[in-house]
Amino acid sequence: MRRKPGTLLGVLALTAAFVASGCSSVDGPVNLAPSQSVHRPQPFGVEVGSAALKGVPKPDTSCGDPTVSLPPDPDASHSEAVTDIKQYGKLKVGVDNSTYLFGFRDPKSGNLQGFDIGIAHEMAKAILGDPKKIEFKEIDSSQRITALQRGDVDMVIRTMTITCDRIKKVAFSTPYFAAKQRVLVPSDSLANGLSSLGGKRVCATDGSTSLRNIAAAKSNPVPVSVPDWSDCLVMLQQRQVAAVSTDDTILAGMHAQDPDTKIVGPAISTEPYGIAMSSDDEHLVRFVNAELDAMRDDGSWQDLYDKWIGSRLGRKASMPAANYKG
Amino acid sequence: MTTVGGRAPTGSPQASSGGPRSAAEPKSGLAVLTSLPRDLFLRGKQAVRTSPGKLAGMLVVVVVLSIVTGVVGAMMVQQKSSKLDDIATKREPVATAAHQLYRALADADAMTVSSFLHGGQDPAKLYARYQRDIQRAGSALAVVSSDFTAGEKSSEAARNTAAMLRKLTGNLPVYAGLIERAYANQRQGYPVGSAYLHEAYQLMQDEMLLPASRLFEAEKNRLAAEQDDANSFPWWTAAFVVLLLASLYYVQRYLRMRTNRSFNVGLVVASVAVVLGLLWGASATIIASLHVSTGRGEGSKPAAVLEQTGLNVITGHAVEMLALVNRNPGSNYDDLFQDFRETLVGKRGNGGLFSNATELVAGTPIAGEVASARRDTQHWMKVHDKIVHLDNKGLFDQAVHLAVAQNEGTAGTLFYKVEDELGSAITKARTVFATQNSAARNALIGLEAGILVLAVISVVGSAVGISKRLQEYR
Repeated sequence: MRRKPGTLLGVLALTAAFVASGCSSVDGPVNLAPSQSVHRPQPFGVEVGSAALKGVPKPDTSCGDPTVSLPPDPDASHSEAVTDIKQYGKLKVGVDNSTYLFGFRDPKSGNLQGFDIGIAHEMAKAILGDPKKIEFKEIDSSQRITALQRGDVDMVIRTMTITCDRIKKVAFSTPYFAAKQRVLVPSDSLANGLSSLGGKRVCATDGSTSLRNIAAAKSNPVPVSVPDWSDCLVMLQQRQVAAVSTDDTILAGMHAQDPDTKIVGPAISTEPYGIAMSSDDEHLVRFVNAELDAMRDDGSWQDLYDKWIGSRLGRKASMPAANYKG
Repeated sequence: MTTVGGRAPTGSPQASSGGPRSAAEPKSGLAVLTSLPRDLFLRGKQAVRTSPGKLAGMLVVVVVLSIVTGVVGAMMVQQKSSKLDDIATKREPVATAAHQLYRALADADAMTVSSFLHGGQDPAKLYARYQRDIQRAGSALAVVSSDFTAGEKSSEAARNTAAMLRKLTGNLPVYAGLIERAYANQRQGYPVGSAYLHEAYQLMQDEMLLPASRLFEAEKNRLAAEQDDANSFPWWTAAFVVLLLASLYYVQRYLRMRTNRSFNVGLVVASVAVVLGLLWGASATIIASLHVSTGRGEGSKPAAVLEQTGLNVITGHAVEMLALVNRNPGSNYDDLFQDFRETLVGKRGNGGLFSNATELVAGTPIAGEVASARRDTQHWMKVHDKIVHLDNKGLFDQAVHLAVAQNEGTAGTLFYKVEDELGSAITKARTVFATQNSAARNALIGLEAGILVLAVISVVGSAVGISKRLQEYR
């Protein structure tokens, strides 16, 4: 009987040891696969909000009408700028490779095609006598001006709007196309223009005038910038942006790739596209203007328009009238 | 007998009954336990002052040492063999799976980048290889994940591994989805397909290749650590064997001096058993560790260097393709390629990983494969220079053709060839490793049981030998 306290103590100690080592307390369900925030893949180089507006041309009307260009001069073919190209044997053109209908690679043949590419071939034909004597440099929209300034390309034909801001850095031909900025949304969207997209994310390429117009909209949409127009369509299809807003021509190309979208709203602005060249190559600009004039007259512009854009955009168009200096 | 406790007897009935402890005072169970070592020590101290007591003490020491040495030795052998088994059946295969995962992802990435280019390659072949890569990556991921048990989750490294595995498992289907979307659009001629390919490429670069490379490194290090561990010197066993032999020697010397008899048969048998055990154990573990070292030097180590080489080959190929795909002015993919070139073959074409690998495999059966992989890589580098030259001259289409066309001597063909050669060299190196590892395992067969039997012989021999002398005192 006297040993009992000891035994009891031992039993107690054992129990305590067992409790301490054996069981950890489980208060709730054990979750071995915690739900983590899903990583949503997005195109490379996406910027949102104010960061998206880097490099966007400032609204600038100081130059009056930016589309006024140098008078045409077919004899400029003997100038230094043009003979340099002839000597090289190929026309170096900065183009887009992912904007459907304007400048894109046909995934099957691998060839660059589109309205802008067609214009480039016409220019090669005019300068070198052969539309195939051309060296395409595929560039992002943000590289259009630097590529010209560094002399990587002779000209840029890449849905480039003529603006006061840009004519300070590069020279433009007369406008070869007049686009209208509108809005592309998914078919099930209730939005009918930038005005109903306040607080929503709207996509355009970096450094583009479209981005500036989105940021300037009174409804305050959130601008999202990407390197290529195709990236905007990717983000729209992945529902990472509510809308894409840019030139109706580009939007028509997106709609052609995804019929489950629609182009809505009024025209936000008119975007005159020009062929950009180095400011030093005045004679080249004159030569190009002469060639554009010829394209207007011989119907080759209309052929290109009908082939790539006309039926898809559903509006008739002709080449914008040229305004010359002096 | 001494009274332990020092308190006066309480006069309870039990106090008068005999026995050293109960004579003093009744104690609780706990007190008995705590005073036991002291009691034994004091009793033993008294006993060893007499000759029979001394002999009995020696008997106890030798028997206990024999048993402990036998058990420790057997446990050592058992642990060594189970480690070798673990290396062969788990660590090495899992490390290989981690490599396969990284390699498959990097290869899928290279295929994706190539499919941006058009220059005489077969899209069906590219797609088939991409599909193979994704399936391989998936099954390798399953292997690496299943090896990672929930019990390990406490350590920091284990938490990192878990996070990387989650990332890879989560992103793999997303990646595959983007690629299929890209192909679906490309088939219809839509340029948005390229944008999806680009997005997939970015996901792979940022969220998948990095964790895969970390997993690969971690598994490689785990394998090396376990190989070190399996080859570690059995200090405890060695110490006990030395102690046991020393005590056997001491007992025999003591008996010879006391009894003038030169030999005690029982103790001689015990000594022979222990020496036998020592010789067998030493030779078996030395042979085993030689096999493990060979398996490492000619197997897993060259395999690791070749794996590293292969991964650089794949990434170099992807970068070469990328330089042709991404032609933005100011992009520096060719500089990046030059880095890979330096890693692979060195600045002058005769150094880098390939020269490491050549040294490691010199004189082994895979030397031939490594040599031809090296030759083809050097050839590929020369072709690459031509591609860059053509591209700089504005002959882009010809450059692309020389990069990806299916005929002999293009950069793409050479890449596939080098990849295959490295792949078969790695398989051969792994075979060497597996053969050597199982040879090491075989060297230990029977040793565990043998040590136990010899320990029993040592126990019985010394017990019989010493107790015979003890009986002479009765």
